[in-house]
Amino acid sequence: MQGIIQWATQAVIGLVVGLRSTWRTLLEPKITVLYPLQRVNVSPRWHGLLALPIDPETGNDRCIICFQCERICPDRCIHIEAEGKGKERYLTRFDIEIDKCCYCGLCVEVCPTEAIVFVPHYETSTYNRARLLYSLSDLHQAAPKEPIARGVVGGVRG
Amino acid sequence: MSDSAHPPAGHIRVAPIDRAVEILDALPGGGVVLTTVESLLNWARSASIWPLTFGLACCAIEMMQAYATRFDLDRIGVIPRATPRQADCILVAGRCTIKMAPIVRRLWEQMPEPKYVISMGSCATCGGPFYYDNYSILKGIDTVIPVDVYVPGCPPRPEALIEGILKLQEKIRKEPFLRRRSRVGAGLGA
Amino acid sequence: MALRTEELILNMGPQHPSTHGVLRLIVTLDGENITEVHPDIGYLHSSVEKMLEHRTFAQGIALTDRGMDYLTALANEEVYILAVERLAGIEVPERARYIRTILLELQRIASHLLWLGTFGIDLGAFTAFLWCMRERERVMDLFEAVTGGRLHHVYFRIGGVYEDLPEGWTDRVLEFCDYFLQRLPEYDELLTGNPIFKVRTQGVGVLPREVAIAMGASGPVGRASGVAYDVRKADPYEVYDRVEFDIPVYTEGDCYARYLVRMEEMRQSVRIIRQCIAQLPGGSIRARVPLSLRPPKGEVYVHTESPRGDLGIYMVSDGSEKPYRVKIRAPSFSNLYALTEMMRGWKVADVIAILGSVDIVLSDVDR
Repeated sequence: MQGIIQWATQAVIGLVVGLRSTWRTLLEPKITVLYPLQRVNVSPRWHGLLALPIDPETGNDRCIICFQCERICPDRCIHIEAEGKGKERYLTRFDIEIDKCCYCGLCVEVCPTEAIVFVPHYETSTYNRARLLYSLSDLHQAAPKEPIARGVVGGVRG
Repeated sequence: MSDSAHPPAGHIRVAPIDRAVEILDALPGGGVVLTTVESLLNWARSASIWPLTFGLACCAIEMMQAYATRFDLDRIGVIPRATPRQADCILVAGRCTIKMAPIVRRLWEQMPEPKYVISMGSCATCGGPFYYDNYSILKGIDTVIPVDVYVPGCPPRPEALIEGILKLQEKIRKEPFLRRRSRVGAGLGA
Repeated sequence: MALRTEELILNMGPQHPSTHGVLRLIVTLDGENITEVHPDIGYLHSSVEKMLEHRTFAQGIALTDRGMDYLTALANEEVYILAVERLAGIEVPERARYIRTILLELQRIASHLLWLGTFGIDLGAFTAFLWCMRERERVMDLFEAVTGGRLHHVYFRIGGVYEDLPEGWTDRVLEFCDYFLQRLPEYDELLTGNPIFKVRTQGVGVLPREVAIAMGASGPVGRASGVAYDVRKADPYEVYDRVEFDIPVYTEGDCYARYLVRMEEMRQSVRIIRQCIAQLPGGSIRARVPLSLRPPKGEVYVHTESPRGDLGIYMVSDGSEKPYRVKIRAPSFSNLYALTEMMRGWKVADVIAILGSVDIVLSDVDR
């Protein structure tokens, strides 16, 4: 009997202590982000979508068709095809299967001209899986409008 | 589907509500009433999607983060249920192995109609990083169950998942829910 | 006349809210008592060991994050990269080693917080889950600022790390450490002294020391049973030999002891992080390593202390740019089989408490 009373008292004390913490938390400032209305400030390094930004000097992307990103990709989701010879070579296909991509950033790391970059954008859900194959024009569009300065990727980026 | 393929009318028990929908739809001006009722019902349904708590792999952790304090999915009426019988929606979060595929299919079949599927992450969408050189992972959950919304990412941020759920809500709001139900009941197919 | 009884076989999982993934437990019951537990694994087998044979050493980093224990992505990268570095004999710059240690300890905090939250749910304390996730989001923000990923990072590289720490990050970490140490007593208030929590965990699921050693249990499960073994002390890697920390060891071997070990480990992690930041040197963060690295022929076994226990990797190189064979020694796998010993003789209601206290991750068990 003695034990039961002691146990019950302990349980009640435990409940009161727990509820005290609950009440204290209730009065603290809230940390919930009301997502569609408010947004979290995503870090500049965030591995969001991949994009090919347009260089304002040339009016085209900076890809030199070295196939390094295609070779390093662990998921083999980048497909590049090019036509022409020497300096006249141009891209005919630059597809990223964004549904296969694992956002590891190895392609961004190996790119010698910073042609392929991460953009802090993440809202890409879709009803149709075929829309997840991003072609060259999609990747151009995904890039931010203002040009990204050279030398910021993979080094001193903040 | 030809008429001869239909079972005789006596064999199908059409629910009274479906009969009422059929009659209402045929009446002049009934379509307007039906659409209004439907949009009201759809509004209610879209605001209370109850998904099954079904975590397979890494994406389940981001799903838990979305249920938790910072993103709080309860705000938009998403409350996790532990059994498929009470769920409207299944969130396939993570890679699905060939051993697990029959169980996912059975869980989906145990859910009552109408039901929806959100494929979360690269692995559930198409196999993702496990697509090549792999003998055990299913190449996309849509080979087993029909998927409504794909959320790419590895893993997607909780916000991306919430965006996917909002997309599903949009889809639910536009559905001719009662009409499709009555057509299924009459054996005409969706 | 004796009452006729028969054994009941109960299936738990693979879809069960408390199995922490896709584990199936085949529980043989005699009334309420468990006579035998047989875990059925393989529901998340991702064949990562085979896949690593088809990836170059640089590509493999991205795969270890996902294919192995997904809660401790950085610990997986660490053990993989240590193996490659020892194979190829690469010297890592000092700064990179300190950065790695800080991130590994942050990962330990994040992993234990998730465990604490889910353990709370299993035992009916939903508040613990919400609070732990609140703290975990702050760790995720710290990770995101450095590595660009919340759960999967691909930040460690062979011979260093990818990028340097952003400006002001160490101050944010120190701020988090202070905040976190303020929060920990709240968990003590909520759980440690809670009689309901104590009744459900104290003396439940006892794993004796001899059985723990025989089953190969390591990490917090082993330390709660009195096995004072921590790879960070026994076989130091990175800069663990230059920082001071204690290993919490309890001899009870029950769920409560496992809980206490993890709570204390989080405090020790904060201690390690503070020392590392105080000692953080400047300089380069990455040694020059060719992208298509070809380590000499040979084999190596490396083990580290992941938040679940002794995580090892055995790698054979045949001189090409891909590993010839990779074998992963997963801590959760051994701990899962220690579970069969822990559960024998307990009531069916204790299954969840015992399973929760072991902290298995199915991705780590099945690989």
